[in-house]
Amino acid sequence: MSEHLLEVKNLHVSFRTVIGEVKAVRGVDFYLDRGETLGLVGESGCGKSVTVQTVMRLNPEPPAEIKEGSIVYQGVDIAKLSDKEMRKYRGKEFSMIFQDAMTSLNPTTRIGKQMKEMLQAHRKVSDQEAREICIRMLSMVGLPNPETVYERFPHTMSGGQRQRVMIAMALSCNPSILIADEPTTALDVTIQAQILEVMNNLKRELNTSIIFITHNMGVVARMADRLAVMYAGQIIESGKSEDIFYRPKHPYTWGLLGSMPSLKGEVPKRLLSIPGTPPDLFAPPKGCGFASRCEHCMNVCVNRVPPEYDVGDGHKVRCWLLDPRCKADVKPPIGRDQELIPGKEAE
Amino acid sequence: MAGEYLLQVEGLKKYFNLGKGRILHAVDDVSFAVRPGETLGLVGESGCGKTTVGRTLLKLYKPDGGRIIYRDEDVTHVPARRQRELCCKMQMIYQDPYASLNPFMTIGEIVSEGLEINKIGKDRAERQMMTYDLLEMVGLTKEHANRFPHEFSGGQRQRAGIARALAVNPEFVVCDEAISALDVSVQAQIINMLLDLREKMNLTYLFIAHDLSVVRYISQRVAVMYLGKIVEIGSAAEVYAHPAHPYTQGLLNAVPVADPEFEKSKQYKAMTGEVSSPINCKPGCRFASRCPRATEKCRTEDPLMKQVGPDHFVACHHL
Repeated sequence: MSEHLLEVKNLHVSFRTVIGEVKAVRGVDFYLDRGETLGLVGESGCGKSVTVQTVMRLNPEPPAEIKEGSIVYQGVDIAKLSDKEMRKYRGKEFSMIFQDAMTSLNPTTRIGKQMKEMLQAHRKVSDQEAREICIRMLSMVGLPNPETVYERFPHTMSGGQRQRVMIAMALSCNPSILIADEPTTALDVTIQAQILEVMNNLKRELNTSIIFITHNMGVVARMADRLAVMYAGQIIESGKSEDIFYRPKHPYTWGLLGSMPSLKGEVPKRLLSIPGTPPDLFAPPKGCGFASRCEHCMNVCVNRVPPEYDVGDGHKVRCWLLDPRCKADVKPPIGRDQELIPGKEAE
Repeated sequence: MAGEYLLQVEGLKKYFNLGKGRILHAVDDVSFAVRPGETLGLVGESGCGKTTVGRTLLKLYKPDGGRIIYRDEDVTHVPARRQRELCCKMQMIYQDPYASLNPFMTIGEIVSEGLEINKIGKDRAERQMMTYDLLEMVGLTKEHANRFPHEFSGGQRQRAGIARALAVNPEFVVCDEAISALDVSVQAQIINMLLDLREKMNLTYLFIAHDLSVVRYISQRVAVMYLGKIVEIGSAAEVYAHPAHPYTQGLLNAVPVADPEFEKSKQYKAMTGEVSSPINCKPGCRFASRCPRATEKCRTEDPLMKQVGPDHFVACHHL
């Protein structure tokens, strides 16, 4: 039915805790095509990690619970699979690299043994073949002397090297989807540049699709073909990377882009900042999640969740300002290719 | 010379003895000066010694060499009594708002502690008023004074940390990665606030950060550190527009910019290798092992600071 490699529809995920239910993901829709990179951006606590962990089915259920929605991968709804059935997918079809490469590797086991274990869980290969595949992967991610790396323990390696090992391990079964959850946040910029380069090259060589989670708009500009911006458990704006950066429509996206100083262009006099803090997901707001922080908030925003408006070319925005009935004339303060608030562009 | 600089640092050294004859050269012969009212950005990758510089300036570490001159007074080694007076003039905002506030004290107690120790304000009531004013200045309310740090978000805690630093009315504030633990939208709030406070209280900042875009935004001058040494220092506009040291060039090239067309057409000259160890450093340029232009001279001889433009100095043999 669907032509997309992965399609997530109306996903709701909650966690049961002693003090109530946290509605971490509240109706998320997105898709991923073969060979493309989808950037998932948002601040901490917006539900981006929970979304992809649900795609991997990594959250123990309970306390996590998929309340509603489907995750369709090649015609199979993986939201309904049992844990045992899921094992065939996890690592083989989807694999994941994490922010904290320091703690994602087993400190008591040699790199080679960890990689081999994962490989042999999914493919029938002899020890000798597995070793060859692992060493080939290690050299593909740009680690010098892969044979010696194979014998090393994680603590003897730096953060950047460990993240390379994680990438090699994640790609060793040639998965169709690689999920990268803030893979470079803990690294220095020069090492970050190296890791992003490795990921881009491997994506081209192996035709892997990537879901790239980050809060760094610079990194996502470099990596993503399409972008989804999350806030308070919902995707509030999505579309082609260029559309989001040059023609953002949602006030939260304006704030997100405007609050980051850039290395390029004039130094602005003042950063756009978003007042306040994100809402409490124990009791999510009735209307738009961003309403309490939005300077253009209207009555309808507080009371009803905005629908998704398509502004063309797959660029979708959840904001009442785009409703044809909305009379407020709000011009964005940011975005290269759109009409701006007069006077603001000079800053 | 006199009066031109608020703070001058000459040949500052801080070594840590790790035992077994291993010495970590955290800060090795660092010199710079800060004019009153300006912000000097100190950038570099993790482990380059930028935090150690900040801490040594405030004597949280004892310097192993060099001189720290504050308002024409050599304050490298001063008696404890004078040091305490200096602490009121030089303050620090710490990186981790979760670890830098005492969890057993209320926000009010944390902010007013400096006032009490230094006997600022005539009685308890006046100090309480001053505490409330400070909290309001950083965007908190006086109701927050009776709450404990765990009741606050990261951004609010960082605001409390700033109020504590400003309580004793300092002139010079070291901001050690003051915003890197915060989310982007909160980062912008804190940066804007730091800029407002700089105006209002006539502060001078040493702004330590690894985020080059933030440093460009907030600083008038910038110093780039690599493995315990400053490799390039100058006005922010100059250093960002015409980086002269190969390390600065590589560092700036590695930062992704929030502009997809620019990013996808950009030629990345990925810097190879990783930062070498600062333990028992050999003579020669510290960057030689990663530098595309390294020659025999670079590996044996320390480069000296050379002036390459008005207010722009670089330590590299190739200029």
